[in-house]
Amino acid sequence: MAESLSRGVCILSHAHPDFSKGGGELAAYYQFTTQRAAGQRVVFVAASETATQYASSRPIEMVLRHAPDEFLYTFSGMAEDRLAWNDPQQRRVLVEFLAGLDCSVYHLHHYWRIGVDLIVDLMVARPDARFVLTLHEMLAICLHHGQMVKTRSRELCRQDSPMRCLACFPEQTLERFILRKAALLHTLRRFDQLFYPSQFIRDRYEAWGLTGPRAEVLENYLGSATHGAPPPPPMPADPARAAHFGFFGQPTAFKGLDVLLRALPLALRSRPDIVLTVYGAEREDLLRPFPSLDPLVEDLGAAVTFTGRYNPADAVSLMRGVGWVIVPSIWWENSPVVIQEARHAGTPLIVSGIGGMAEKVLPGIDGLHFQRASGVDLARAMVQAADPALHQAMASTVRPVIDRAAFLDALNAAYSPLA
Amino acid sequence: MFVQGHETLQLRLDCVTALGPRRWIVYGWAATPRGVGSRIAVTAGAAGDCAIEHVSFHAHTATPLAANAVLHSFTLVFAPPEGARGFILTLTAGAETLRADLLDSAIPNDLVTATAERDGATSFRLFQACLGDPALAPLLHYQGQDFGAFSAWLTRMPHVAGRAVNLGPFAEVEALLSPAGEVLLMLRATTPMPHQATLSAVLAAHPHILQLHDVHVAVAGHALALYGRLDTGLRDTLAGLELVAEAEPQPGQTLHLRAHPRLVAAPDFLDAASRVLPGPGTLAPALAQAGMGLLRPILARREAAFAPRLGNLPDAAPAWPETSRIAAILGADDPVVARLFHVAATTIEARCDHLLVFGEAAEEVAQIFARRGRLQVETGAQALVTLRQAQHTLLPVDALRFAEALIDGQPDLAFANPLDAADLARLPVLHSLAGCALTLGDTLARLVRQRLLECQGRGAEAALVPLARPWSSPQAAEMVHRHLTTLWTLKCNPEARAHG
Repeated sequence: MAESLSRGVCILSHAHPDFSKGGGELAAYYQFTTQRAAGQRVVFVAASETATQYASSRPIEMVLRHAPDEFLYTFSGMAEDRLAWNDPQQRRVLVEFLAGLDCSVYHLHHYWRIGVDLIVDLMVARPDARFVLTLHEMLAICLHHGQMVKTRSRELCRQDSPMRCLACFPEQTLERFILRKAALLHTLRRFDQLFYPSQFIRDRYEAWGLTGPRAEVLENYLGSATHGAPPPPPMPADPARAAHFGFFGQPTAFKGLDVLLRALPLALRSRPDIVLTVYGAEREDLLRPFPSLDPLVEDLGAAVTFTGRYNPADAVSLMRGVGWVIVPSIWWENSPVVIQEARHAGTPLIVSGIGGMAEKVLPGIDGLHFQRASGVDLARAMVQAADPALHQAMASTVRPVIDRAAFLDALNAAYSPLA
Repeated sequence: MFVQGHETLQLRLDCVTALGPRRWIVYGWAATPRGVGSRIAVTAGAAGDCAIEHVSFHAHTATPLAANAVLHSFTLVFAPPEGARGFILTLTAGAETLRADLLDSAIPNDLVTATAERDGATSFRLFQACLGDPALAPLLHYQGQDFGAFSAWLTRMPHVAGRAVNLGPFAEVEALLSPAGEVLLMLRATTPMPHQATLSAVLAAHPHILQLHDVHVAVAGHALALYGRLDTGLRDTLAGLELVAEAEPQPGQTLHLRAHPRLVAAPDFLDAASRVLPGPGTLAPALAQAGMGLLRPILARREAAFAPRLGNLPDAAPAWPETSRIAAILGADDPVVARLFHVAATTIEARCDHLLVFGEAAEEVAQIFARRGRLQVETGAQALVTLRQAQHTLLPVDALRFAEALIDGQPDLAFANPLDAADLARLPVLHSLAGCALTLGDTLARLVRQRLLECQGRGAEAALVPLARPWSSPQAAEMVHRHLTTLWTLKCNPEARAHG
């Protein structure tokens, strides 16, 4: 292991969390800080939308130093889908920069904004290095932002095929879906090691055809600031907290906040003491995509509170302030950060019983499941959860998340060519 | 110059001029008594009679002065004897004779103008007659002009570049040429075409007039059609071909036109032959049926002419030593294909050292291999030249099959069906006679598909996937498909195989 890491690790990410807070880039960056804190030589290179926008109006170096051992690059030379480069010169410049870092491991956290062509060129330029990829989402499988949710309804998609994909994207061609899949699959199969943050996403990729490279499920590690400290002590029993539910995240079409808000009045009929706090959005943020919810929110009155955006570093402490964290997403969710944070906080969860949510929240251990997109079933789960005894029992069995040592051990094992 | 004996015996000379050192031509017309035999002769005084090399009469459209007279235009080519100083033309009708001095200064000698100004039907017949009559051949080269004596006549004609609308009595005129050297002239009207309508055409490629074979003229629906085929050996002249045509939709209503036919692939060519109404759209059943009446004999002529050529191709060829491993990427149409070949370039490079790329995104794919510099790569016209010259084997790589093979983790499957020398010999012939598109790459892709299906034990006829185009009728689509399938699936005859 020591030999394989002697020249360090390059972590290549599709974004930098200084500019966006998606789960993938957060996981990539937390890996960077954790490895660096462990004394390893590690470089973080991320695509930068800000720099790319700037580059459209003024000349700019393609790769910019952002902080010690942190670099940003522009991707204006990429194709519109950001899966390959239109400009071979820009691709070459980036390949030369990355190859010149002289790292023995290139750990990618995406292929979007990196490009399959660049990946292959980098592999050719550095045949001595190991290539590792963490697959955070399913863009390769699904053109609909990798969500595997059908475009013309919110119906879940369980398997890709050119004809199914054409039904979602009738302006495309069957041939294009096949060509796209072949280019992506052929590239991803060339990695030495794949990491999946959940068994769910691993199963999806393997069903898609991504077999061959060594593969392992490795839960995202959310960094020393969140996970480095030992899990906080259990909260003292507070019967009132059992009826306090929290939603953490953005009110996008797939996060299911609308489902939760429709469930709330139903739950209130049985348990008028139930309250909901929405962290991550103001009321206006909700009404922009869901204007029809305005009267419902008005009627809910004090039962719902919007607190606006929060700092991710505060997530765990905020979650300790609620009895339950609800993750009502209507799409699969591969490995939601919110679930990890809630489990680390010792707060039980109520989640849609599908995909990464169902996997990460064991029913009866970490929390409860409800039927995806069903406000009625969510209301049932909320009423059930508001029972202080059940809450206390569940809060005592919530499983911890991966710790720093286990995370580093898994990485180091993967980086070893003898593994 | 006009010479009159009496009301029923008259002679007019419109042009007399030398075609060469020992050859003269005379244009004129003659009125002779009805029912009385007549003849024309030319003498050269003491030098004797002139040899008549060509004489032709055409019914003149003008009304004769007397009811008991007949009027004919004539064209006369004669060769004077050695030492002749003057020429006297003699018109004899029964016992009566008219004489005219052909060197009289009153007779015009501008042959080009005279040809343009005389009756159009007469000039058209003369133009037609130039094919195969050596005496008339100098007319086509006269004064070094394009089509010689006919230059002004042709220039004054309406000119159709592939297609024209509202030309004379026709709502649409369409002239098409197939890669097999067939021509089709379709004259379509807005009303049904009378059955007595006639159409004839001369195929010209300056400075020659060419023989059309298997000519078929027919009336159907609202259309008047002419089909014919050029000699195989003359197909290299296709680019400069034009049709000079005479149409007579009604007695006495004549249209002359010249048309440069547009080159189209067989499906377009044959569908046009079934379209008996002007403009696009699906024909009503009755008109579609009429269209079949036009199409059917054309298909029969094609099969009779082309089947032996395809059947006589050898299905095995001598095993030549392989000098260069040539691969051809087919169907590189979607820009996304470029990224596929970028990430899988080594898979291609391991199997060939010369790569041809066909498709709309061919250049983008070629750039990938060119940048890598590991093999010679060609696109466009240069790739077609190499493809035509390829004699040994060719490794076709269908882009989509390649993608599917990669997805399945079995890239070798994409290279499993190389074309051998016999296939390569068959390719240009198939393309010319039964190609479904103008690009040779399309025919190559179909041939590859056919070979693949044969290897899979499936019917080779499945290779001719339905051609998506706006057919004039479902019947036409079916008939053309069946015809093309017949040509594509013709088996080589055993004799050819034995000598292959």
